[in-house]
Order: sequence, then C-alpha cells, then structure tokens
Amino acid sequence: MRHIFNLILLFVFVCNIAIADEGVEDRRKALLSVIDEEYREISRLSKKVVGKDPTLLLRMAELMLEKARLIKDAELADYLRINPSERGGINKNQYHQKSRSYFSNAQKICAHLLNTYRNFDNKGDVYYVMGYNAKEFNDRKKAITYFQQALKYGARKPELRRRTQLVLAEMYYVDGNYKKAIPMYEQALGGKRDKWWTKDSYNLAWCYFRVNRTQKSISLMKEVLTYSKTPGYIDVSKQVERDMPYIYTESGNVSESIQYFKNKNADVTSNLIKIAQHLKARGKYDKAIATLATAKNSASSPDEKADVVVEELKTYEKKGDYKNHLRACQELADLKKNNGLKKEIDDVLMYHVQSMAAKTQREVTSSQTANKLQRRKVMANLSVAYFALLSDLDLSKSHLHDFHAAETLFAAGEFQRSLEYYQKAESKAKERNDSKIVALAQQGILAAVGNSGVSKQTKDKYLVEIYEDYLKSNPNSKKSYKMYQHLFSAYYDRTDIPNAERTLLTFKKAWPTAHSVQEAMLAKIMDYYKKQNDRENIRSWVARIGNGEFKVSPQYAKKVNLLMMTMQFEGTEKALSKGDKVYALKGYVDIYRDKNSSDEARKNAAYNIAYLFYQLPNLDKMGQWSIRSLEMMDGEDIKKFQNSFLAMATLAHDKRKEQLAHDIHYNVLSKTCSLKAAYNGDLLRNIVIIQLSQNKVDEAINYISKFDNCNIAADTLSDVKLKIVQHVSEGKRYSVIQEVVDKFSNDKSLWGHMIEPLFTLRGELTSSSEKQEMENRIYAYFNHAKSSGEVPVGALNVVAHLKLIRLEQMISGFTSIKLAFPEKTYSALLGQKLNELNNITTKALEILTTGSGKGIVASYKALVESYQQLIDEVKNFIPPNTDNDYLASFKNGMLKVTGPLESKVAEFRREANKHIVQSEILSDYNRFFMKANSPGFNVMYFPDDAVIMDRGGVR
Amino acid sequence: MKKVSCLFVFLMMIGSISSHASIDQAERVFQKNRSNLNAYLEVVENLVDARYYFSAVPFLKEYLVRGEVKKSKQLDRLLDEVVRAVGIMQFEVMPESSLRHTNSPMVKYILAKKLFRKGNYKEALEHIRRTIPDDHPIKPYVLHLQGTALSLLRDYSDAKYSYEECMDVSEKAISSAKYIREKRQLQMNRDYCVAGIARNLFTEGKYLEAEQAYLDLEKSSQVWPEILFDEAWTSFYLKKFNRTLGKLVTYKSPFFSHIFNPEIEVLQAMAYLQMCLWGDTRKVVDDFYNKYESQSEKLYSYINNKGNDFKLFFSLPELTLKRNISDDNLLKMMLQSLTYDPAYLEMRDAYERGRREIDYVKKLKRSRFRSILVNNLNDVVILQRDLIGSYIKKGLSTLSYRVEQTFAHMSYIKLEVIRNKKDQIYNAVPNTERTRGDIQYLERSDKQYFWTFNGEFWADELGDYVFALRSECGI
Repeated sequence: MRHIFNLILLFVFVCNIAIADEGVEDRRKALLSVIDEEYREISRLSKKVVGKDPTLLLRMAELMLEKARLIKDAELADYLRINPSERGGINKNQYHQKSRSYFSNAQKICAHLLNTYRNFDNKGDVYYVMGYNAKEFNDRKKAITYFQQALKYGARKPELRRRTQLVLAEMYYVDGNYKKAIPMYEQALGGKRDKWWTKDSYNLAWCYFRVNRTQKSISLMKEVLTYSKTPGYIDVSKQVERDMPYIYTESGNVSESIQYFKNKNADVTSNLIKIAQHLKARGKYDKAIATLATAKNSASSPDEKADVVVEELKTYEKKGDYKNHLRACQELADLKKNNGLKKEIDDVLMYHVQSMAAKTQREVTSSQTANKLQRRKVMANLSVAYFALLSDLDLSKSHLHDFHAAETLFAAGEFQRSLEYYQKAESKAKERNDSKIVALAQQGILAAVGNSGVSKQTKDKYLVEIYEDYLKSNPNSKKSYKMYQHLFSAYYDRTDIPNAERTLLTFKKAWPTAHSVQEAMLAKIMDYYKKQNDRENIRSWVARIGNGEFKVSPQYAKKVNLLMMTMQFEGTEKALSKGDKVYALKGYVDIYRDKNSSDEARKNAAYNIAYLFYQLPNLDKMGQWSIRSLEMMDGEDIKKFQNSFLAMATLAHDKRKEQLAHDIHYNVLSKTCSLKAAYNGDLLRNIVIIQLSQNKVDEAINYISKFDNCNIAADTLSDVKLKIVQHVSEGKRYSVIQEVVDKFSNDKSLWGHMIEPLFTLRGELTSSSEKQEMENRIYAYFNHAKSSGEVPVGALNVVAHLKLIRLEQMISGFTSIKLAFPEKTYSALLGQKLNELNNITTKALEILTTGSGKGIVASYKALVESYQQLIDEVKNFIPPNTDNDYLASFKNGMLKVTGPLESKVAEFRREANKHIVQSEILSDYNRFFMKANSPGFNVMYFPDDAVIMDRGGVR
Repeated sequence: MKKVSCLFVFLMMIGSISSHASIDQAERVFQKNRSNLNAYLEVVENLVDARYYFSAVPFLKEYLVRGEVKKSKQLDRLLDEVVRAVGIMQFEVMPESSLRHTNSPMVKYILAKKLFRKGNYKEALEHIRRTIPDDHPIKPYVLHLQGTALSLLRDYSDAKYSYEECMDVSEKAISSAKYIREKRQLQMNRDYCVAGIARNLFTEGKYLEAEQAYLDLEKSSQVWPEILFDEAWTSFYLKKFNRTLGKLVTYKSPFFSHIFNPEIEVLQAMAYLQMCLWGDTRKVVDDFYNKYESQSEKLYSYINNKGNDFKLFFSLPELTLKRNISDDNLLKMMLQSLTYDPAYLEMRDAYERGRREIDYVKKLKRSRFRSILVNNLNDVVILQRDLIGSYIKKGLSTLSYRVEQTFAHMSYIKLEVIRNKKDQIYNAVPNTERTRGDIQYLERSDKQYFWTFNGEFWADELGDYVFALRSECGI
C-alpha cells in the first residue's frame, strides 16, 4: 500500500500552474477544498500508523506549502483589485498574513522532520519544501542552499530532481548566474517535454546568449518559436520575436538584424539606435558603439546622423571614454557649423561640453587625483580641450572659458602652460572690459610664475621683482601671505640671507600672528648658520627668541637651546669619544665655568666631570663634582643617572671612603625618595650597611625610620632591618638588642631571626617569671616563624636548648629515685621510675620534633643515659637479707625488665647515629654515639668568641 | 494464505471408565515407586488402559521434563494415545528440548508446528518429512503442514505433491474414521489441501490456473467462506475487478455472519479504485471508518487493560455472545469469528472432557493417589482454560491490529482518490467533457447495488456474483 502513497508523493504541486483567468477563483476554492480533505486524511492516517511515519509529516508539509501558495495567489489577486491610488497606503504584508502562516507551518514541520529523522529517505523532498519556503520569504541564499540539498538527497528521484533543477535554474537565471543556470536547465529539460518547456527553454536560450553561446541561443530560440505556435505549449513567441534582433546584433551579426528590420519594413537607423540604447543599458558599450557606427552609415540625413552622434555622446559618457566623447562633441560641433542643429540637439551638445569640462576640471582639483599625476595631467588636457571647444561655441564668454582653462592648468601644476591661458583671458577680458577677470588673470599669472615647473629663465626674470612690487602695494593682502613665503624662498635659494632675514622681519610685521611660518623661516636661517658653524649669529637669533621677539613653539625653543648646547659640547664629546679624557674634562670644566652656559649645560658638564673622575679614578674629585652635580639636579635627573651615582658611591665605599659613600647615597636617596626609582632599596640598604660597618646601629635605625616611605618594597625593607637584627645578634650589647627588638618586633617576618637575640636577653634576666615570660615570647616567635616557613638554625637550637633544660630537670628527678627493699617497696619504686622514664621519653621525642640537630643529639644522649641509669641500678641492686635461691630468682626476674630497656638503648643509639650521619649534625655529643670513628677526645666548636688560627698558628 | 490447518484432535469417545483394575495397578505402582520417575511410564500405561487420559498428562509431562528419558516404543505409543485424546495444546506449551526425547509422530508434529510458527520451515520439515508412517492418524495433517512449508520455501512442485498426497490420505482416513467429529476434521484438512494447491499456484504467480484450482473446492466445505476471499484476490490480480466485487459481496450474506475479515473492505475499495470509481471508493473507505473507528479504539484499550487475565478471556465469548447487542458490534463479530474456528471448538471440547474426567476420578475410593489425580487434573483443566483464554486474547489482538492496519490502508486508498481529483482540477478538465457509457451508473446509489441481495442470498449462488460496472479510467 505504501507504494500507492509514494505515487502520491511524486505528484507534488506543479510549479506555477497557470490557472486560466476564467473560473480561477472557483478552481482555487476547489483545490483548497481537496487539499484540506487530503490534510484531514493524512492526519487521520497518521493516527493509525504504528510509530511515527516521517513520510506523512513530509506530505503534511507539502500540503501546507501547496495551500500557502494557492492562498497567496488569492491574496495577491485581492490586493491587485484595490485601486492603485489607494494601494500605496496599504501594507502589502497584511494581505499575506494567512499564506505566511501556512508557509511557516510547512517550515516548522520540515525542521522537525530533519531534526527527528536524520536518516529519512525523502530528505530531498523536505529540503525542496524548505527551499520553496525560503524563496517565498525572499531569502534566496537560503533557498538555493536548500534546493541544492534537495538535489543531493533526491538524486535518485527523477521527478524531484527535475523540479528542483528547474527552480534552481530559474533562481540562477534571475540572479544572472547563467553558467550555473545552464546545466540545471539542460538536465531538467532533457527528458519529457511538458507545456512549460517553451517558457523554460526561452530562459535557457537567454542563458546561452549571456555566456556567449550565441549560435546555440539562436537555434533554441527558433525551436521555442516553433513550439510556441504548437497547441499544448505555453506561447512565448512575442518575447522571442522581440529579442531575436537584439541577440543578432549583440552577437555581432548586425546584418541579420538589419535584414530582420527590413523584412518588417521598419526604420533601420532608429531601430538600431534602440538596440544600441538597450546594449548601453546592459553595459555593452563597445557593441552599442559598433551598432551606432552601422546606424550612422545607414543615416540618410544630417539630422539622422546628429541623432546617432548624440547617442554616441551618451554612450561614451556612460563608458567613461572622454577622449571619444570629446571627438563626438567636436563632430557634432562641426555638424552645427556646417548644417546647423536642431535646438534640442544643440542643447544636448552644450550640456555635454559644459558638463564634461566641469567634470574633468573637478577631477583635476580633486584630492583623489593628488597622487595620480598622470591621470591629473590627462584630465587637465581634456578639460582645457572642452573649455577651448566651449570658447568656440560660446563666443560671448570666451574670455571666461580661457580663464577656466588657465585655472585648470594651474591646479594641475602646469604653471608654464597656464600662463599662456591667463594671458589670453586677460587680453580678451580687457577687450570686453571685464575688470574682474583682468584682476583674476593677473593674480593667476603671479601665482603661476612662482611655482615649480616654470622655467628658471622665466622665474629669474620676473619672480622677485613681481613679488616685491606686489608686496609693496599689497603688504597685507591675503595673497601676500604666500607671496612672502615665495619671496623668502627665492632669496634663501639664492643664499641671499640678509634679504631673506629682511623678508622674515617684513612678514612678521605684516603677519604677526603667523608664528608657525615665522618659525619655519627662522629654522631655515638657523640651519644656514649651523652649516656655516656661525655661533655668533646663532647666539644672536637664540637671544632674540629668548627675549620673546619671536614666538616659537616650546619644542622649537628646546630644539634651539639644544642646538646651542650641542655646539658647545660638540668638541668636548668628540675628544671623549677618542678617549682623550683629560681634554674632555677640560672642555666640560670650560662649559661649567662659561657665564653664557645655560644651567642645563652646566649641570650636564658637572655630572660628566664627576663621571670622568670616577672612570680615572680620582675619588676626591669624583666626590666633589658628584655632590656638586647632585645639588644642581632635581629628582627626575638623578633618577636617570641613579645607577651611575650608585656605582660612584660603591667605589667610594670599597675604597673605605665611608663618609663620601654615605653622602652620595644620602643625596641621591633624599632626592629620589618621592619617586619610583629602581635603586631606592639598594641605596637604603647600602646606607644601613655603611652605618653598621661603623657600628652605628642607632644611626642605621634612624635611616630606616627616615627613608621607610621611599617607595621601597616591603620585603626589601624587611631585608634591611634583618641586617640590623643580624648585626646585633652577633654582639652582646643588651641595650642595643633590646632597642632593635622593640623597634622591629612589629615586623613578623623578622621573628625567626629575633629568637637568638631574645635568648641572649633572657640570659640577662634574673627573675624566673621574667625568664618564663621571655621563654613564652621565644616560643610564640618560633611558632610563627615555623608556620610561615623558614626558621634559622640558631633559633631551632635556642628552642631545643630551652626544652633540654626542662628535660634535664626531669632526669634529675628520675635519678633521685633510688630502689629499695622490701619487695613491695621495690616494685612501687621501680614502677615509679619506669613511669618517669616514660615521661622523659615523651619529652625527648618532643625535642626531636624541633628540628635542631644539636637538640636531637642531646635528646638521644639524655634518653640513653636515663635508660642506662635504670638498667644499671636494677642490675646492681641486691635485695638485702635474702638467700641465694631468692637472689637467683630475683635476678632472673629482673632480666625481663632490663632486657627491653637495653634493646631500647641500642635502638636510641642507632637512631641517633642515623640522624647524625643523614642530617650531617655537628654536635658536641657526636662522640658519645660514634665511638667507633671517634678521634678519642671530644671535638669542640667555638661559634661565638673563638678566634680561628691561620695555618701557621699565628693569630 | 495465512492459515495452516492447526487442529486435528481425534476425539475419543471414551466409554465408561470402569477399568478399576488398571487404576488400582496404577496406584500400586505409584505407591511402590513414588520417587522413581521411571516408574511413571508404568503409571501412565495403567491410566491410559483405564482411559484416564487427562490424569496421565501430568505424569507424562513430568517424565519428559525431569526424567532420564530413554526413547522407547512404549513412550511413543503412550504419547500418541494421550495426545490424540487430550489434544496437542497441552504438549505444545512444553519446551522443545523436552519434546525431542521421543519419536512419537504426534510429538514430531507438535514440534514441527512450533518450528513452523517461528518461521523455521526447513527444520520443521526435517521433523516430519518421511518420518511419519503413512497409516498413522496424524499423517493427513502432517502432509498439510508439509505442503504449506514447502510452498513458503518456494518449492512449489513438492508442495503441490504434498497437498495432493494430503487429499488422498485424508480421503482414505475419512472413509475409515469412526467418529463424526474425526470425519469432519479430516474433511476440513482435505479441503485446506485442495485450497493449498490453488494458493500454491497463486503464490507462484499462476493466477489463471489458481482461479481454476479454487473451483475444485466444494461450496459445501466448511473452509470455503474463508477461501472465497483468496478467490477474490485472484480475480483482482487477473484484473477481473467486477468478479472481485461479486465474490466480496457474498460476505454480505447472513450465511457468512461468522466471518470477520477487515481486508474484505480493503479489497473492495481497491477494486473500485482500479475501476476509477472514485465515489464508490470513498464511500467504502468512509463507511469503514465510521463503522469501526471508535469501536476499534475502545476495543484496543479493553484488550490492553485486561492484560493476561485468561480466565476472563476464556469466558468472554459466552458473556458477550449471550448479550443482546447489535450485529455490527466489533467485539461480537471478532468473537463470532474466533469461536467458529475449529481449533477453538476442539480446545473447548478437550476442556469439557477434562472436567468430566475430574468427576470420574472423584468417584474412585478415597486414597492418597486419588487426591493426587484430582489435583493433577485440576491443574490440567486450568491450563486448558488458560490456553483457551490466551487463544481468545491473541485472536482479538490480532484482529484488532488488522483493523488498525486496515484503517491505514483505507486512508492510503482515499489519498489516491484525492490525488486523482486534484489532478483533474490542475489539468483543468471540465466535468462536462467527461463521458461515460451509461448515465445510469452515475445516478445509482449503493443501495441500488445491494438492494437485490438483501436477504435474498441463495446458497448455491454464493460466490458466483459478478458486478457489471464500467471502469471510468481514462474517461
């Protein structure tokens, strides 16, 4: 049964079914009724089909589309029935609301189909519907994509393929994409011929023609003509007959067209003009021109010829062929001269000449052609030719057209040639008493003559004199502004500097506010003197600028000063580059001492002198000049040379010139403190180190207070403070230690390092509560340092040491317990001792966790000794008043106590050994555990007050 | 072509069950060897001797399923006898593996049927072809099954040979059959084989020969109403659409009120369609929808809602057919069709005999063995009841599904009519230009068509009606 349905699917709405006018409405209604019935039946069927059948959904979509198209036809008919005058005010979309809703429904069903049934066999049909929808919604790009998909998926369905190809072909045809349309039409029309064959083939014939397959086009057109007159085919004969001559003509077969017109007794010339107009409209200018050439030959009167030439004019204008346009204008002008022209033709000629003259002139003056010199030149020549023609055609304004020609040439930079037209215009204007043009022409002459391109001969002869004369009578005229500049240039080019300077001064008087031009003139003069190395004149002009006689931009002022300074430094730096430091020093000293030297120059000289002494090196002089230059410089200057000053200070420090080093550091830092300077931290560190090297702890602390807000990074500042902490840790000056601890204890990053100084302070305390308080503080600092990462080894040792003190106290208590009989007492004491031993072990293990190497070894030693003490005591204990048997039994029983203790002692020893070796611990007690490798005596280390002897044993 | 004759049961007219000696012997054997399954055969032997066939069923089944079965002539004989008496359904539900323990021709037939139903025709043939003695009572039915399987395997010549042999063997068996019911079953089997030859030819594409072969089937045959539809199809394939319509109109006869086949209407619509009688086609389609659409939906949900309540389905025919409801009630028509089927009647008969056997057993002296027999019999009878219920449910589901399918087919046909109508409008062929041989055909109503047949069917004319409609295609 399915095959029957598939048959139905094959019958999908025939495109553009022509419903005859008569009874159209009735048939449309009948169709809509049938479509509704079919839709109902499909709906009913879909309920009966087990599972969803995408084919039914597709059919629904197709019915929606079919209905939409029929309704749209009806809507369009309704719309067209409205009076055209009223139609304009109506929104056409309103008329298509109903059909749009059906298109929309069809689209939704298709989208659902594609999403849900990805492997649906009839995807091609779905895409076809979607394509049609997109087309209806004027989304041609999408429509083409969908139709292409329909072709892809419907490749094996001939009818679908044919329909799709036709739709695509038509779309490509409408879009002018004939190359794509052709294969579509060819494939679709290759099979059976239905009544639409003529219409589609007519389009195909046009496609052929558009891609220059003219013969094929003509032969198909003929076939279409034949079939159009056959019943059962759509008649497109009128269109074919209309288009045939055009096709003949455009294909270059004009004779066929002429013959065609002759056969129809039509006017050949006017029809050829029409074809040419059509060709022109399609942008086929060359063919249009060729057709007009044939038309011109067939013209039987001057008027007909003029008609053809007018069309030529228009075609050349469209083509942008100005050269031939001009030629055609001239041809028409000749016709006018010889035979006269009809008014309307004459008007056309004047319009064309005027508009083209203006158009070409505009192009010459346009900024777009500013860089296209060749083009501008061509346009200028054309414009001049049009103006010349106008001058002939319109004699009453001949002088004006000449003047325009001159102006065009001027604008094109053809100054030499423009002079000829200016002169012509001036002379004709004088004849016609047109003073305005006379004046303008004269100004033009003046302007043109001064420009490049005018021969030197002409220029030399007239330029300066013309300018001077003009400026005398028009010193403040608008034109004078440029004129002064030309005159200045003329003098400057002649290296007539006095006159150039005079022109500058005159210009300044006439145009006092034109500072930039004045500056440009000044610059040229300064350049001249610079080249001449004429310091005097430069100094003179710099002074005039300096005293405000000339207003120049700050940049230029700086440039002038720099020029001055460069000239000053030039010799010195040349000497320096050759390695002659002494000569350079001398030069810099001269600049420094020169009264005329600017502050800037002196400052630079001072710095350079200091640096040269640093390089020599001469520390005293270096110090003297560096301090001097630092006094002259501000913070920003110093910031630039901060590393150089740092180098100088470092050198001073290395050579034990602490005071100088301090002064340089101090001066630099004082001035760069408020700036974000790279070396501020280093400077402060150096100052502090210098102070500490002289044991000036208080001063060092003061400097930190003074400079701690100099944009120095917090970690750098902490590092500097650490130097102080470390410094005081090494000594035993309790008051200083106390001060440093008090001062820096708010910086928690230093707490680890403060533990040793605090321990030192603890040693000074006598009150046990104060000691305990200090210990607590040490533990607090230790815990913080431990949690934040690194703890100095010294600090670890301090903490371990404190804990060991406690351990020793416990051991003391443990040792004081002595075993005694009777047996019950013995057992209780032994138990007590074992309990204490357990506490000692726990405490010792706690010390191990501190991480102090010394603490670890000492802890193990304490453990071993404590355990051994108990072992020995038990072993040596002899119960009083007991017989031998009891004694033996007692000893035997005690072995169970001493055995595990001895194992433990051995284990502690092993672990201690392991720690010593693995962690490379150097402890006083190493020998206690490493007797095998022991030198036989305790090795002592003297970390504090010891003095190391040299090899010779000399202190 | 759907139906392979499925039932054959020979009903034994069991006489009085008085063989107490055998029963006693059965009891003794059972008491003595209660845990020995091999002794079950002896128990069965004694029960069969006493004609307590239904009582023997559980012992046989248990022996086949659980015992260490050794193929033996005794087992084959006992199975043959029991199956003949109780019908094949009790054993058809057993697993194939258990049924393979015996060479009983009856069991082979059961096995072949199971395989046939699964579409495994070749294997089905392996079990029955040349393995059943010619004089075995099951042989006629085996040959029918064999012919059908071969036809489906496109071995038309062998199929034809099997059907012919089936006709001969059935004929001989009819002459020697003792009981009417047995005779009737054999006659139906023979007639199905006659129709099988025609169906075979149809399947082969030899429609003209098939048309002739169908004529060999007597109108008096019980299977003829069913086969008439096949004949209508053959006429359709021969493009004798008026003959198709004539044959189908026969189903309007009250004689065939027990036939329910929705495809009859489909074929009718298609015949009209082929003759381009759009109005007639649409009428058949719309009538079908109007008549069955709402009923079909209700019935479908009714069947689904009842699930596997086989007890209800078992009693459904009795409950429904007794009610005074209209003749075009879909459920009634389907149940009529199902309960008219010989297969149903045989199952129902076996059920009644099983129940009677319970009464007989209850009359035996009280003993532990008697209690066991009563329990066993109850199980057997309940199974039989459920099998009948299942048969009804499956039958209703199948018919219901076919009705649903028919709706779809009808819609497709109507769409074809609509297509033609649209075609006419698009091609702008004015109605006035249509010509038809006789204007009376345009004006007639379907009442005029069928009026003459209402209540006036003559039994000897049934199936011989031919319509005289002119095709309107191409007009």
